[in-house]
Amino acid sequence: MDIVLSKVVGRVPVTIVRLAGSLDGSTYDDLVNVGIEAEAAGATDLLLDMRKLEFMSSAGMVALQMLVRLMGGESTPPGGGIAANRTVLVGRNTGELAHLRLLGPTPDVLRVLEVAGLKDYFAIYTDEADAIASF
Amino acid sequence: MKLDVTLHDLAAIREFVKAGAIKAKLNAEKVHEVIIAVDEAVTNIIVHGYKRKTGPLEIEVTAHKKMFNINLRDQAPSFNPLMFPPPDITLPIDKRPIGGMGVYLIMRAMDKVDHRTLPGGGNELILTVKL
Repeated sequence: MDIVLSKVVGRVPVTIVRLAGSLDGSTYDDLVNVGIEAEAAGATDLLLDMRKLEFMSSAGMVALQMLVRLMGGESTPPGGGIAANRTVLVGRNTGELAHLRLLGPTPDVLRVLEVAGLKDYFAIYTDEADAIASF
Repeated sequence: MKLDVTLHDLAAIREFVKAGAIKAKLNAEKVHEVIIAVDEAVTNIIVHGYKRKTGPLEIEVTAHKKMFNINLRDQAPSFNPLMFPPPDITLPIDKRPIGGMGVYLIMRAMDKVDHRTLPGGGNELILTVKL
């Protein structure tokens, strides 16, 4: 899976995480680690660009759960490293969905979210400018 | 398909199963559901059965008597994924335990799922969808 980060400033700074390929058991760690690094660098709002994400399994949903907790919770401890911060995230039981939004998931990815009962919890956009302006 | 499997083989396994499902003339939505189920099952074998290390896996795809079957045979310690309690999918994402959705997705995608412990050790998971 390819992950590309960029940052834009709308009403607030938004970190855009562009995904391409497959989000599965072999790649979800990469996304979590990117989220941890982004948060450590000051990111508070994430837009996940899923337009080129061809496949997502339940491992991808684990990554989404971690990102929700990452963006919505207290800052992860500085200097803890990625492994320690992952442990912190797993231990959290709250988060703020408003700080993580989805852009253009494919029908296959949407169906997985729907079956898992997660689709309705996310703000999902089809237009990038609208998504950025929504934060 | 026989291989010493790791998580990095998931994409190739999905392609293998996808080709069989298309050949069996499953519709596009069902093909995706089958791929999801196999991906989840194989991930469980690697993560829980082989503790994230490599181990042998045999995948057999057959279409017979209006049934499409995927047989997954491993040599991991006996492990029946059907014994997992189902997740509470009514909980919002920010209140849910992390993980635990894989078996649920398998059960939702397949018409029938069977597990048996192999006589010489290991497991066979049989995923079935009606044609």
